[in-house]
Amino acid sequence: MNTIEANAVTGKTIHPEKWVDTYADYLFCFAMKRVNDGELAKDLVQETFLAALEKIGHFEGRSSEKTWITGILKNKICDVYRRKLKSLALAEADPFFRESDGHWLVDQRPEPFVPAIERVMETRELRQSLQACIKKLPMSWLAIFTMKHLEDQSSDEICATLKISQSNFWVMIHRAKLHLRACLQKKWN
Amino acid sequence: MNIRNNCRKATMMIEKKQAGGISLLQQLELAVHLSRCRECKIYREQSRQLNQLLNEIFLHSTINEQGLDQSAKDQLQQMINHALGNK
Repeated sequence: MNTIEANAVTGKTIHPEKWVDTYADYLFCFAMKRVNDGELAKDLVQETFLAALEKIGHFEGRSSEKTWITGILKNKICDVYRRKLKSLALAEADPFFRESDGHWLVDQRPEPFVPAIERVMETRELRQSLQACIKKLPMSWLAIFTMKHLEDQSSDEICATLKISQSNFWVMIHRAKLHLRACLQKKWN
Repeated sequence: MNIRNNCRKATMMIEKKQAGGISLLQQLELAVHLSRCRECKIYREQSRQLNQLLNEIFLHSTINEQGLDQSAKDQLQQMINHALGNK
């Protein structure tokens, strides 16, 4: 099999028969970092190749083949984020503050993670604990952190991509931070 | 109910402030709240620490660097061959 489709204008070629060898690992890792779910990441890679095959005729060679395919995957990941966001109920009360006046609930009050004296040796272990805590977050909250910390996107960009309001964005950041903080405190006290 | 007496609102303001987006009045109210709320002060410190750790985790994450397993690759290759054959 040697199907090489060339773009008439730019002369750039794409090689679908080599996609698996060239990009499968890269795309899988790219997706894993962003959805943290092996089966889902696999599906996303497959959907990306399928979509790319359908769009071969539209490849204009303005970007490299790799950038083009990665772009398709990025869109698929954003679709996943949006779907998950739809099913997220933000309205329900949070388990951190008193409903009446917004004060910390007694058993939720922040305490230092570790006594100051042990600070020097704490960072690596703290990072490991945090990784475990992150896994417990709903994926749509993870989505925001991924876009913020991995893609370095501004809050405006994230809201536009995920089609959420500024106020929902802040509620989610706030909730996610509260959950992570509480999870770490539980592990360290 | 304003930021001064409400820890839920104060901690939300702490998050917004880290992204640079609160007014002068809100900054003032937050400062007043923090001056008399030990818990929210701890929250602020830990929230900053979390940001730093999150940055490190996301930028240096090594989850599944080994990539996709061979059987999944074979399936993908078959799928692509099939699609190309049908053109």
